Amino acid sequence: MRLLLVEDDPMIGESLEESLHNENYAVDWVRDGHSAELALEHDLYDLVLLDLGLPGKQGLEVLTAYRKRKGPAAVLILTARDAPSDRVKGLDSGADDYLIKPFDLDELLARIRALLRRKSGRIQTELSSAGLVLNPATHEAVFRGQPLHLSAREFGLLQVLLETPGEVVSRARLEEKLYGWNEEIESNTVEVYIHMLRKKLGTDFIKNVRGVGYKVAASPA
Amino acid sequence: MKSIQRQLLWWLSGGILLATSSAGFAIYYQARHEANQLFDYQLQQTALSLPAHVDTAAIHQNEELEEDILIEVWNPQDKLIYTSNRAFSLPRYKQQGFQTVRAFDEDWRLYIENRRRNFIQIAQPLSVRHELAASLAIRSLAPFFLLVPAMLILVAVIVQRSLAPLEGIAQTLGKRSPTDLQALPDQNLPLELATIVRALNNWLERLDKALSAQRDFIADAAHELRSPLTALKLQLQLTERAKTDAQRLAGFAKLHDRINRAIHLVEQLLTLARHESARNPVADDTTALGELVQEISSDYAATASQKQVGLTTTVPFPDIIVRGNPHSLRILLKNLLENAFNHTPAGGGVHLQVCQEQGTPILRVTDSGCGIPAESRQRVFDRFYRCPGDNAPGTGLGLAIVKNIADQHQACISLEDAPSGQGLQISVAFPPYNTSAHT
Repeated sequence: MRLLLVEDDPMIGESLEESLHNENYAVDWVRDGHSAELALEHDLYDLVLLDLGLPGKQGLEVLTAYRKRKGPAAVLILTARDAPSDRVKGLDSGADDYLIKPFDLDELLARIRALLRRKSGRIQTELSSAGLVLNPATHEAVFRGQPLHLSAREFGLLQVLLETPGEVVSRARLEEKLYGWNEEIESNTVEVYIHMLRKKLGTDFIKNVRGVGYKVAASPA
Repeated sequence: MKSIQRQLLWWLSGGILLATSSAGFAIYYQARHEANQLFDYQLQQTALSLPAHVDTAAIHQNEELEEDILIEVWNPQDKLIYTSNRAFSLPRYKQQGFQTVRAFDEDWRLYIENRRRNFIQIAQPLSVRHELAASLAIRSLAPFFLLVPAMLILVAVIVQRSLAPLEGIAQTLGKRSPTDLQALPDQNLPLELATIVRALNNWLERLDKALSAQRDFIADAAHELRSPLTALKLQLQLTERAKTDAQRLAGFAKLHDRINRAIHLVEQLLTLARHESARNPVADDTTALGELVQEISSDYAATASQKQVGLTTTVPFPDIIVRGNPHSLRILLKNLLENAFNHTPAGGGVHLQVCQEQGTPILRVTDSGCGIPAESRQRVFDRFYRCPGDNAPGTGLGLAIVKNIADQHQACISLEDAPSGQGLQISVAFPPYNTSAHT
């Protein structure tokens, strides 16, 4: 899951970035409205955390423009503006949720999970397919009734594949979802993680569609 | 309490009474003067009308003579040969013509004529004339005595009607909520009230501006306080979740930074609020700029070396004194210096200078930082304003505080490019301090 963090305050940005990394999200952090627009030009993100009072271009302008050109990512506004009229304006401009600073980290993470769930059209909090159950809130994985130990990257990779079971996800797409800008990606890292996962889940669980990408079976457990 | 209406009534009735009585006296005296002339003429005519040979026979002919006139005639042998009133007589007076004498507790007007060696003396009491004059005066004044109460009633009505708008204003103001600072209607008011209402409206307008500035400040402050608190809370929760000691230690270090930032912001807000609400902080204090600069530059020596920024001072006139509160001016200089440090990269320099140009004491801080673009120079003194692209630490309040203190000292701040072309030069020009005027 890749998130765009738009926040001009260096201290808030730093802490948020670290918190989101700890939750296995790939995070890109921009500090002004123009950079946010540039980052949003490519359809990379699942969710945008948007501060409103930004230098350069205001957060609401960025949001309005993004929704006008049918930008699909979920948008969660994080702001110190607490007037009801501001919230209404934010939500009516196309935001999916609105959180007022200072907020609780757990609440923010829960709202991010809820927004991502809603975006992928799921109702259950857990992701599951072909005997594997992932809980994004607790980072617990259960495979055929047995708890499974997964590294953060492995969990993240499986999460992307389980969002759309049965569909093929390209290697490039997987890299986009797993790594932020400032993270080095070695040429074969995705293959390395797939290899490790096959060891844990069996060779048949993740299928390699040659020249296209990877998929997991859509069959229920 | 003083009532305009009551005062008007008292003064007007007093005035009218005074004017009426003066007029009464004037009329009385005028009438008495005229009565004197008239009665004197009458006395003379009475004497003339007496028959040529006055004797007792004539007495009966003169019976229709007015009772208040006493006619006496003496013959050359000084024998009273005629009197109009046998019951009463005045002695004979020698002087001829008109005269006033006192006899029998009464003033008498006499006319004496010597005709054919007989003495004719006509006498009339003066009281007759006075009574006539008084009744004349009273008759002329009678309308005034009716006029006084009528006028007083009229005055009461007029005053009440003229002051009615005042009552209206009092009611309007009484019904208002404390936050309603709308102007009062100033149409159709008497001139005197319109002046007051306009002055009041003017004051309401200024109050409204001051209050909305205060509201803006609170809104800004609330917004700005949330950022460091958010950073603090996030970092606290992150540190709680740290899995290793190393992570935890790093987390604590960041917590310290964030708490210091929150403390600094609160301190700056309080400083600003204090200087905005201070009324007369300058008083009669004086500050030696040279000393202040030396003191502060030694305070900041450690900061300068830590940031690897050269801090230099030039104090060519060590004894320049300005009128001002040393504590406030220290805050001013500290904020200027912190601003300079925050915007000067390592290896740069900050220069502090005290000088005097055409008699004006100037405090000058020059840095070799990024400077302030010309279009932002008007706004940098606004609270919480930060130049676009300015990522330097700071609350956005420093220059607002500087401006506030400078304004209180009637000092002028100017922003220029540093003489080297790189960086900013801020000059604070103080009004000249006249030692002789304050000893």
